[in-house]
Amino acid sequence: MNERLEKRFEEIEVLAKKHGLDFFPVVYEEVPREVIWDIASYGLPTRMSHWSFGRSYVHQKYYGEMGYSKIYELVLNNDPSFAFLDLTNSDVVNMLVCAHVCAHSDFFKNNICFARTNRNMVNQAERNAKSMDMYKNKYQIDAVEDWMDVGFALDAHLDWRLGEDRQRYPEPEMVQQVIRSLPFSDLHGDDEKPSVKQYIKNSQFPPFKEKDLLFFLVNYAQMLPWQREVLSIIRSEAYYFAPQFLTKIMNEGWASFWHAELMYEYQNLSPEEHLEFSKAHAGVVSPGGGGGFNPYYVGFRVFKDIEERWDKYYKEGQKNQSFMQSAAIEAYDDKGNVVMSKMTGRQKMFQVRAEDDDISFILNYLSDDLVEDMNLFTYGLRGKSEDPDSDDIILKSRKAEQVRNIITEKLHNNGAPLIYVLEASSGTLVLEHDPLEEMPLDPKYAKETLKYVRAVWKNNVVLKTKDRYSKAFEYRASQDGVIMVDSNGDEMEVCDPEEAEEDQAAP
Amino acid sequence: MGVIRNKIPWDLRQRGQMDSNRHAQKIKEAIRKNLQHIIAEEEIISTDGKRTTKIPIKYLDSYHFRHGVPKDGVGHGDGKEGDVLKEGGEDGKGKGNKAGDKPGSNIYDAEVSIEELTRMMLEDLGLPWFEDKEKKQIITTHVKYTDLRKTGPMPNWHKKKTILENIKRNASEGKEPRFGDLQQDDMRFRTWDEVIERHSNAVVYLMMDRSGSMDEPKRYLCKATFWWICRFLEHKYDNVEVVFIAHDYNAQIVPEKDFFILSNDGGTRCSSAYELCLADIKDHRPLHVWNIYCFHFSDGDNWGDDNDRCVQLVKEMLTKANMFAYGQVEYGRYGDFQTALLESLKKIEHPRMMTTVLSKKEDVYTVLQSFLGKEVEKNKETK
Repeated sequence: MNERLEKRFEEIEVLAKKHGLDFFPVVYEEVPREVIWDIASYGLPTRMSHWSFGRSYVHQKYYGEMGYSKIYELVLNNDPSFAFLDLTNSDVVNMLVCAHVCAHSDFFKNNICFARTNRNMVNQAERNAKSMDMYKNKYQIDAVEDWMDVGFALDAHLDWRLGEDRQRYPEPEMVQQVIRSLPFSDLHGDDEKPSVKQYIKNSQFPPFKEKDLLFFLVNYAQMLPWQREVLSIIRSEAYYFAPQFLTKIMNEGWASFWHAELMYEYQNLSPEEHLEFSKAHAGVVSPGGGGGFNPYYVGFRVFKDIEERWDKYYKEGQKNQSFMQSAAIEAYDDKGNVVMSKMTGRQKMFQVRAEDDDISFILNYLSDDLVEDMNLFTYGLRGKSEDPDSDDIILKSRKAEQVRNIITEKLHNNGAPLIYVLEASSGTLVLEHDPLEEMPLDPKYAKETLKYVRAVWKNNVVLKTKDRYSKAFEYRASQDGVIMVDSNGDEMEVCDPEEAEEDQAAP
Repeated sequence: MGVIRNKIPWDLRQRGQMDSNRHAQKIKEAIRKNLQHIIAEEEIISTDGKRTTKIPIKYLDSYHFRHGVPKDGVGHGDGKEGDVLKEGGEDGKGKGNKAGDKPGSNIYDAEVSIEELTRMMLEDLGLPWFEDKEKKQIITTHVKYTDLRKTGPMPNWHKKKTILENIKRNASEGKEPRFGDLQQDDMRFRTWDEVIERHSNAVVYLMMDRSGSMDEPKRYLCKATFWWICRFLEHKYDNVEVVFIAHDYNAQIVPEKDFFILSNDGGTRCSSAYELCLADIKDHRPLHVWNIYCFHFSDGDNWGDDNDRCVQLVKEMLTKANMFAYGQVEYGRYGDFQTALLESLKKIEHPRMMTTVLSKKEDVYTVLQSFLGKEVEKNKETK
């Protein structure tokens, strides 16, 4: 990195701070693209090795070499934030990247979802990787890898509310409750014999529907110490990575907004450099070729829209004397839409950046007008009922509400089906797929994953779920494998609707 | 702000590469487990059997709970509700393309050489890779000079080495380093070893019914089986020749490219192929030089009168061939298969005789298994 560029980086950071961006110190490093692919597939430069990361590496490499995608930078949620820049970036692109990185780092530091993440993860991950390597040496790579497979199969099932650091459930205990007809009647010298009620407190196991499957297994399944450690490590890293999945649109939108803002303000760009910047920026926030969905673009547009709208509401508010004297920060019309605000557009943006995740961001701030303006729609398979043989993908809806629902649908419960531990006191582990979820599970994947769970639990495992006609049935995993049992207790023969169809189609 | 200037030797770190190798290794394990589904794939049997071939395989799945139906997505652009954005496939094949939404629908081109696949199959079948060559082999000996000695017959005198030794000795004795004063000690003679080379030859007669009833899928199964049989025999013998005999009512020897082309003539007379095969063996393949393998595939739709003649000819062939195998292809759902020929051939009961039925791609593996099993038995017999 040349000195001129370093100086320019410093100027951009000063500009960013002037605008109120509050970020961790950033350490920049220029690296070859192989390293970019490496970090993109592992998530961290220091993370443990596993074949599944190798798989994403092949994938990254393939797309990188074919020129389908180019990653300009990667930045880590860490204090300090490490930013990796592609060696082949031009100086102007690097400046854009610098502004972008400052905004990402600000987002990591201030967004509520990241509040509980480990800011020293780069070092922690390295320690984790070392432990894993040690186990691999000591207990055979295959054994450790298989165990890691189990961890990665379940690591999307987290419980946000309770977080990473948790205590074991309270132990069940015998409680005696003394019941008198009047409180303190013994003090009055009454001879009434109090009745004593005995019951077991915390007899439910687990005491509530446990969403954090790895927490449950780590604490209550029988396993060797190293196996427990492997699952704990994977779980803890999952809590570190999950917020990034949950704020992708916002985070990229925020960073794109700020790199544009800062670069437009930056004075010392020559006209040629400015042109180059504009091209690069247009590439980043392009709607996406082929009609796809680009989180950079959508996030960027929503933040832009928030700024414009709240500036307008702010002006309205300034005109209205009674609103200015009231304690309310925002005023609403009959339908609940904001009409006046005491916050300017910028202030509102900073508030959103701190308090929202993608779900609330999209539901609250992707307005009907914006959906129409961006020409968004939802698509999917033509409904089975309409034409069962059709595999056509059709444009389903242009309704803003639908669009918002579909975007956020994938984010619920970390993108995984909501499955929790219902009951385990009898030795059999009973899992339940949330009955409110209409979409059935993928049978092949469910079966394979249940085999993992059984291997850890070392006793029978049952998963209650529903098929696509909302008929209840169970997967039962025992020593002999996994079977599907309908509500009458009969084993179901054809389980995979797709498989069944293919059988029929075969000549 | 800080800048790191190449402090980390990234070049030395090959984590991504190492883990992707591990992934490739896992994929190979998966191939091994699914051999019987893979071996009859078009991509494999359409190669010449020597090059590395790329087999399209899905990225290895990592299992987790997921929804069974692809979720809807969001896109942008023109169009009204109900417009078809992407037409589905006409058959099951289109299913992998659902909006790319399904994880794991990515195809990964694994590079596996045919030799590696063959090795995997042999291992899977529990067969050793290197087998003793057949007893029918030509042994040739020739002489190869391999070493030098100080004594020997004069015709093998190595003049150049002798002169060199002489100069060396002169130099080491402090004299002028040049040729002169030749002594017995300087003499060098070539010595030789007798090298025995074994050439094993195999000729494979591939006979196939190509009358109108052998439709595309049937011929495909034949092709896949033939292809693998040739690969195995190539590993076993130094020299493998393949003779293609196509027959309907009459048989003829055809070049490979024409072998799988259907004839227009009706009628099937399997004995015609056997006759031609026997004649060819008699004329061109002396039994002490050639190991003979005969394979015949047909859908069994033979002329009724012909079956007895077939049995007779097969018996004759068995006296000459290392193996005769008859495969009946029963592909298709509603076929009323004629089994007369199969039944009569089955009655022969000879250790080197094999009959089998092929009805789906996976059967190719079973057939190869029984074929190789026979080979092993035979080797035990001969030992």
